[in-house]
Amino acid sequence: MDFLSELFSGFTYIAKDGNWKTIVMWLIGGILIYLAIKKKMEPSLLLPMGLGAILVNLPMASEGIVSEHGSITTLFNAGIANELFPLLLFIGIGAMIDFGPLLSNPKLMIFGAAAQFEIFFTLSLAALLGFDLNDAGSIAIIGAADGPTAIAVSQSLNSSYQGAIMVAAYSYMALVPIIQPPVIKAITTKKERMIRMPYRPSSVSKRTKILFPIVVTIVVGIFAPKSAELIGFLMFGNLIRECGVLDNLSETAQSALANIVTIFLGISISFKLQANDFLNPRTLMILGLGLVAFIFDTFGGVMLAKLMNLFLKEKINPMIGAAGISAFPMSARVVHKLGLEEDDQNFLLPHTIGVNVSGQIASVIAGGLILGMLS
Amino acid sequence: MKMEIETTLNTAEIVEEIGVETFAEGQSNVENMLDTLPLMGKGMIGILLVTIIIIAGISLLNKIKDKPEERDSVGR
Repeated sequence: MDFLSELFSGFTYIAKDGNWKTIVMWLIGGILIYLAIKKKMEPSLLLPMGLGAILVNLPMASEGIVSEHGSITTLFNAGIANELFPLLLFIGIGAMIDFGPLLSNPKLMIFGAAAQFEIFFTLSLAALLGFDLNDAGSIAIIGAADGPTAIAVSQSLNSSYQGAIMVAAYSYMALVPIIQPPVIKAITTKKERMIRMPYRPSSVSKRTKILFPIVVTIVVGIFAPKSAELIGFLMFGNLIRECGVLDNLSETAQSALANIVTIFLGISISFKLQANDFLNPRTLMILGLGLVAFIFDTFGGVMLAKLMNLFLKEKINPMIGAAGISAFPMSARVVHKLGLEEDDQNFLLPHTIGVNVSGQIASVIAGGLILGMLS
Repeated sequence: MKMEIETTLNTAEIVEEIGVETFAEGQSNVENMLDTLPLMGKGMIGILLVTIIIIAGISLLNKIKDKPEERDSVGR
């Protein structure tokens, strides 16, 4: 009988009062896995998070997994608590990015900055809804659509809602093709969406491409010191790519390193997906605020372009402002596709890519500024 | 142990407890939101300034020319 009661202890645990949350987290994990596999939404992150959510909420078993020396706890402490995994992932991301389109037209960077303004607006909105200052700052960074920065900021600020923030950040990144188009169409006219932007490629010297990551690291490190780590690792990856003498390392950073860190990051985030941490009414508010931040980031970039068009002779297609969020390269492709829908000869991709990569830099700066002001 | 820290604009008191920064006790959410408005302004201005400096830096970098055999076209 003792053996049988031990065998079924998991079931009796769930049946106890308050432990229904376990089942809910299993369902949430299942939804994340479904979205990853069936809908192909950020599968590299949502799938490990989904299975991790189930793993850390298994009755009795989870007591070992998330105990002081449990496997998930160890992974979390090794890479999330000290922000190592996001930094390593940034090396891979930096190695993937070609900043050439931005370097040939540096003014595009202003749209990357404009798309991050709404992060600070969301910070105030979160405070209005009763969130603590550190939590408000962590929630606001969701709008940057930059997973590693969201992890780094929420961890540095010791936010109580890291699990919800991370799920929101990566889910909304995957939802860019669904969220952005209606927002863009709502605030632009058909005539504006049909504005053609001729692409005049200018040669960018190899020296410029090599010096760019070094200069950006120095500039951002001086003016936004809390961003130094994030921007430094991002630019390190880019320097490996552009130097021309480390092709093997560049390839490794873009593929093996990025994939290995992604696996560890996805599963270790689940440490924060334990039912008691994740399931509270504030999680829904965070998901809502994250969506607001995302929408307003899109709004901000487009509105800046429309404002600039009041003064420019050669008009900008305002949709490119929406590519300033950090979801690279998805946002660039979404805007380009919208342009083609209106005019199948309107190729916005070179411009949207330039804006999109600038958004990656701007989101890191925004994260550093939030850290600088709040920590 | 609590420390009172005054903001540079003297618009709010932020009470700092060990490891946690929070708003002053007893304030309504609206007052908390108003306390964050200077942060909003500083953040927006900060990101704009850093961006402008980077744009200026890139413009300067673009003056650097390679030798003809080293020149690389954009978007490769």
